[in-house]
Amino acid sequence: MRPMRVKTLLRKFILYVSMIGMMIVILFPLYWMFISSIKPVKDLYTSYSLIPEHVTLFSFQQVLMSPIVLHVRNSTLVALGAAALAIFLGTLASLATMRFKFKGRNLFLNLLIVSYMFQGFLLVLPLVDVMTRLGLYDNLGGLAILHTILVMPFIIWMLRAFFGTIPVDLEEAAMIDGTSRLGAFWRVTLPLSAPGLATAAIFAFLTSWNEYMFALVMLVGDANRTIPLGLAASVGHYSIDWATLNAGSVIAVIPGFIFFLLIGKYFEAGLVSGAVKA
Amino acid sequence: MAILIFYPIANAFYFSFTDQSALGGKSSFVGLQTYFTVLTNKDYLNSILNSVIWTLGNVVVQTLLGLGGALVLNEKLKGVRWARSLVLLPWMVPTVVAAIIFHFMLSAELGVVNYYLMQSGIVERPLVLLGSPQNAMPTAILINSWRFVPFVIVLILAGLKTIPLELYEAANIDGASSFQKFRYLTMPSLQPILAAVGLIGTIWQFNYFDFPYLLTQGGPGLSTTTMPVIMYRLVVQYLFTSRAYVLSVIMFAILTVFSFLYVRRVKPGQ
Repeated sequence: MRPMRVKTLLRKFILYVSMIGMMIVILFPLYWMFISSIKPVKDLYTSYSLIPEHVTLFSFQQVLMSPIVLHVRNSTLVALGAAALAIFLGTLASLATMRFKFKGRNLFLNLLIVSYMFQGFLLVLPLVDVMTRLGLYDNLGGLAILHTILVMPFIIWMLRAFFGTIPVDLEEAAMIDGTSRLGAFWRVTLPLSAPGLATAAIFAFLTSWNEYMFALVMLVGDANRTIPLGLAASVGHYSIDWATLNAGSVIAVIPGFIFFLLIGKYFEAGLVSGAVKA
Repeated sequence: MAILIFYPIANAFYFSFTDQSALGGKSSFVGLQTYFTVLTNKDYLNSILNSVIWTLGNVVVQTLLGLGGALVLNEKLKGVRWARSLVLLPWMVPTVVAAIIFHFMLSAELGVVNYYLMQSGIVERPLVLLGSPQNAMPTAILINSWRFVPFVIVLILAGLKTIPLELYEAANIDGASSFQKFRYLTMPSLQPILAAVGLIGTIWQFNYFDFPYLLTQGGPGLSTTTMPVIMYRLVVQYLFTSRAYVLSVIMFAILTVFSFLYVRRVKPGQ
């Protein structure tokens, strides 16, 4: 039995070492960003200790006086707009494809997946072109519409999965009692799927909040910059103000991390089901 | 929906045959001339090659690390539940922020990575990673993988959960070694998920603009200039819009041919 036990011990050891190593690689960059944002500026290039020797909120005060405040406001507006629009259209689209049978329904659902795969730069030029023709170039509302388009396929698949867990019988019962189809959906299915709606809304909000490429091509003026644009713009200069950048980055990840704590589990499930279908 | 997706694509095809420029003015039909200009230019061909390297590098690294990570996190270890939930954190970080963090950490003069490498005597001089033409591409691929591998891990973990435990018990009774269990049980069961990861990964990374651009602006020189980066330059800086459209048609063609061959050979989703 002895060699067997040595072998299992060794196996356990290797597994623990890999798990801890993996966690360090994943978390250290985030940790370093955080402690760099609360270090005094003079320590930034001189103190490399893993626990900060001095702590100050100076960098965050700097951020409050910089244009980043404006960028946060812009990003919030765009992300809220995209989330609201995506939920509204997504709910209607998933309801339509679930409760009604019509020609081309499956084609529509499959096209959603195809369009999800052809994201990225391929879509930027044409979509921005469309927005320019609609007079929405360099416009926060136009960017919100683009972000909505970006998340729609995923939102529809996600919402269909959530609505699917609620029995149609409930809605039908309400319809027998005299409500209209939309009324039944509004009063019965919608309240029951509130957690699903929240998850989808948060997904849309975050995608928009983090999005860089469309914003870069769409927005030209300083006043309209969203937070990814604002942060990226300060990297290119000769002297980089790392203190403000680190603090700005911490602010930029806050929504993501809060939502991650709240709905990480649902989000993961949504990701998996979306990707497996694609 | 159809208008928003398909009208633009048709439009891109049309413009690739004209001499459209971002300066405005009338464009005229020039047939294949722009294609000829693009396909004989060293810089554009170089960007196609860079895109292929970028895509292949990312997909290979992310699939291997994702598989390894998922196998580790699938074991019964202390703290593994924490690890499983924390693993997705990089996926929530905006690409801009990831680029800033790694720039800061990898800086040759000031970065924490070089500081500790020097301290421990692993290197004598600071490593220039993003600032050197040889190192920029591999470094960018690894940084991009930091953000994407968690996603792959979550997908493969979901795949591993679907393999019935009884199969492993049966294999144990038959006296199968760990390697045999992995080779003949785990891998075949994961095949559909790995195939999907390969397909989605290829398409996403091929189209991916954020990291090659944010980390190095395509440089130093043209060492990390992939097709999306040069297309952005063509439109915003050089105003050769029709060349960007030609490149987008080429990208579209490459992806379509790839997806077609891939789906026929690998058959994901079976």
